[in-house]
Amino acid sequence: MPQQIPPVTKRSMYFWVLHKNRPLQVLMVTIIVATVFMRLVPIEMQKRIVSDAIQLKKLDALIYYCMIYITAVFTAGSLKYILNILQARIGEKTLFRIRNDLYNHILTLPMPFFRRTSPGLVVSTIMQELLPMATFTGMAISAPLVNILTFFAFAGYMFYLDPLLAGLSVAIYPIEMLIIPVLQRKYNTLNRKRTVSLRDTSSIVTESVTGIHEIQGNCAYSLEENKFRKESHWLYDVTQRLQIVKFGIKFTNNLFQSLGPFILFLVGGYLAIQGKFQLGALVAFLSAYEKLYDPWKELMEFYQLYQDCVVRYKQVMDYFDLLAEFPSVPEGRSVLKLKGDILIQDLSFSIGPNIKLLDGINLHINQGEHLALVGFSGSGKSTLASAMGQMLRYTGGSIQLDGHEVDEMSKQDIAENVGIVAQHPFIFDGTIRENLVYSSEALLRQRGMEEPELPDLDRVIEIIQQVGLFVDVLGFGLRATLSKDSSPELVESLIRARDQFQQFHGAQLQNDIEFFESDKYLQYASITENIIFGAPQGDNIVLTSLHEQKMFISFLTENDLYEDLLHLGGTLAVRTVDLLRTAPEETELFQRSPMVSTDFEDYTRIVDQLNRATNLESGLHGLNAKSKSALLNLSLNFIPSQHLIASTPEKLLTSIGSIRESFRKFVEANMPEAFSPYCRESYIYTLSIMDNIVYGHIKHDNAGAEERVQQHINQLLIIEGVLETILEIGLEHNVGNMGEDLSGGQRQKIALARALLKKPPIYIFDEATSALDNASQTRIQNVMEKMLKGKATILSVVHRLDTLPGYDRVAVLRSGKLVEHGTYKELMEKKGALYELVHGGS
Amino acid sequence: METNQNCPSCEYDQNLDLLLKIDVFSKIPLERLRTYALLVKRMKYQKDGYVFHQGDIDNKAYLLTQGQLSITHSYGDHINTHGTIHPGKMFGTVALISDTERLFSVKATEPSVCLILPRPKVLAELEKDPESAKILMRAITARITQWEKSCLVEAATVESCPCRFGVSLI
Repeated sequence: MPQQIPPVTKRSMYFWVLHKNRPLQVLMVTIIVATVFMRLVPIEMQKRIVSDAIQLKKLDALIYYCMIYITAVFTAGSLKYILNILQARIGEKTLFRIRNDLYNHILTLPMPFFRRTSPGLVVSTIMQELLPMATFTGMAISAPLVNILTFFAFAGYMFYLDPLLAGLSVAIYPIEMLIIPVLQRKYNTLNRKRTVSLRDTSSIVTESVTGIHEIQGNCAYSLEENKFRKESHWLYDVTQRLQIVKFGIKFTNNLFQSLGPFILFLVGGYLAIQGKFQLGALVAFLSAYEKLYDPWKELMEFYQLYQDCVVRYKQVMDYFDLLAEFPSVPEGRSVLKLKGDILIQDLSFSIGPNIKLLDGINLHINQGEHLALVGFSGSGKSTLASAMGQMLRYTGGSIQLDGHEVDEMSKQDIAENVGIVAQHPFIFDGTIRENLVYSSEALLRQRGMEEPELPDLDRVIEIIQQVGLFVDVLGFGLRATLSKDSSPELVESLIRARDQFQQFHGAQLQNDIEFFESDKYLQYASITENIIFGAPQGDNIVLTSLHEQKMFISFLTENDLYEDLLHLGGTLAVRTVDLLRTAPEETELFQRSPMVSTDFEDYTRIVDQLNRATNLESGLHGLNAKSKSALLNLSLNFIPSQHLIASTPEKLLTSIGSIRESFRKFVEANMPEAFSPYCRESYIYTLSIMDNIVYGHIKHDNAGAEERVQQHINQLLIIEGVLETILEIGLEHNVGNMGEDLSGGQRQKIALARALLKKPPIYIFDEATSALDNASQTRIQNVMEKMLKGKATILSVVHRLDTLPGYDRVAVLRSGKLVEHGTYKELMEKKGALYELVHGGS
Repeated sequence: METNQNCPSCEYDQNLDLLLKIDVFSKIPLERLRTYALLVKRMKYQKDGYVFHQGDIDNKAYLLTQGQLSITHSYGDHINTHGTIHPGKMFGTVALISDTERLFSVKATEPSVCLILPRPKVLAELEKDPESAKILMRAITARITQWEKSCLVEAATVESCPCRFGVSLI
């Protein structure tokens, strides 16, 4: 029977040294024995070179011994190199295992732990505090072994040369071994105090930054400064004492180390003068003594590392030494397959001795029944939903799902049978599809599937239609750009859709779209796009670096555009720097200027130079080529409808048709086939799919323009049979860190879809549709009524009371108590708590 | 040094000019207001296009610069019009303080243009510039008081006072 592995926080440091590392550790021991032998050879050779070769003037012996010497040195060095690699391999693998196991353990910790612990602290503990463990586990066996063996080998060799001298020089080590551990214990105690103090000081800083509004609001600078000073002074004090002890250890080591040569020179020199000791032996002796210090020093360093790790490891493991509230997987039985009957009896949840957030709740929700939970603010609705979803452990009474107590279920039982949608669902960095299948994938992996078979595209499409995410996903797809290696069939379909769009919807949507016309200036496009009115053909020309293209600049100069654009660039730089220099760092502000935030410092320097001039013209004249190029870049990226801080040069507005024509001729003459002009027959890879179909740009400042256009495009995509392809492109859209690309409504729709894709028999919605607009809300309501009623049990914390008639029953909570429940009609007729809520009472 | 482009034809300058004339923003330090003006957007509405719908959760205020808007409320099958918004009128200010459920629908009765005023960061992150935040809060509170004052006057002089409704639309 395999040995039971203890929980991660209960494992000793040495557990990790051997855990899955035994073969490598054995290999290291073998190499160590060979290394120690190889280290002795050069010392013996030194003796023989001096005594047997040099003194006896034997050249062949000299060469022979020297060859052995160099071979031994090279072999010892190579073995040490292999040893170091093995140590690093063991260390890093072990660190990976510790982090992995600890991370898995942390994920299961009770929710209250995360409420009182800052994410930063968890991150630094896992990533920083455990770092020395890598070095320790790599060295745990090899370092003491190699150094003790080497030490005794050198000491033994010295005894072989001269027992008296060896005895005298080695005698200092036992004395040192008595002093160092005393100092080291002191160091450990201080180090523990330092870690605690460091953590406390960090907590004060974290708390101040998080609660800065409270501090500033109360003008609590002095109070907070006092708190910080007290703690940081303690940190300073402990660290200083720690340094004193640390250097004390170093000093003691160095002192004892210097005593050795002192004894050797004094006694060994005397013996050599007396002719009782060979000169070669004295050289070998000195060399051996010098080498004796290396293993000793490494042993001391390892000892310090060990002690440091003892402190850190214990603190890390103690910090996370909590039991998961619920087991991850069921023990001794298979995962429950529930039908959805919910029985709540005398349920209570208390915090502290007298505060009851839930108090004696009795409720039965039949399989397939939909129950709405309503109540005044703070009435315990979300607490009840959390208790049912095992997000907290109730303190009294019971919740039974099909007769099984929720408190006794495993997390996997809940995940298999309950779909939970929170008011503020978490969206992970990744694609929309990854976020949609998150719950399904988690469940399948929990079942042990390494390569889980995720819901297919048809199923995903079905669900995103149900939750009203279809149009959003299609929108992301339409806003994507295609790469040049996209399927030719798709490209052809999109060009056909372009023709259809123009033919059937062009006139109707002309207020919503700025169509590409060769003699009309595009307000929704950059100056670059306006001038070239096309796209680069090959990969040699990149639109974003046109300002550095000599040919392009000569075109601008020849057509009297360069000075105007430089002037516009200067204006944009001056105004942007002026407006944003003192503004808080906001990405949104930079969207109103063609300036990229990372270039702000460079432009600030240019603007400072421009500001020193009497006017913009003379300022521009004095700039170097690099600065002028940067300003040209700004103006080429200027989009009138988006960057409102400047105006388009008059010449561009009035003569854009002839400028484009000149550019076309210029390209033909100087850069043939570098650009392909916009034309209805070819796909433009620099533009989004939507812009390609409409053959223009959507006017984003026209309310609802994109939605109207998309509605018409959708039909064309269906006709062309590419709707699913565009939808797939949309599903691959990356939502950014914590879903920053998504609106609140889109996040909730994703969370709903996530739960629906899992198809559990029970759903818990905690204000799951609060961010949805009325239309989406109605759609979800319809899905619940038509698709889930009688098939899945729903408990929904409801904030929009107009949706209540759609539920089978309504339960009203007040101050943690269930005050009434029944059908919407019954409760409204009763004119009790629900009636009061609906009519705005408080 | 002045740039030649500092002219009223530039939309940013026009927006700033409009903001300076609104009571809610007029007392904000100019430096802050100039940055805020960068975030203000113009939105065009077609006839019958909605600025927002009843039930929407909103975090923006609006200033009608062109056209005309109507305020409607629906309850069951009943749709009541509660007033008209004319150019120069700012509305929806409460959403500048906190996300607000729109209790009315506002739609364009003719092609219209609104200046969309997002919640200033100073209100969302009060700690960064408490002074400007306080000025904004005072201005919004003053609007609420002014609203009630007009309501009371209207109640005293008009038989069926319609202004029981619409505080969230100040």
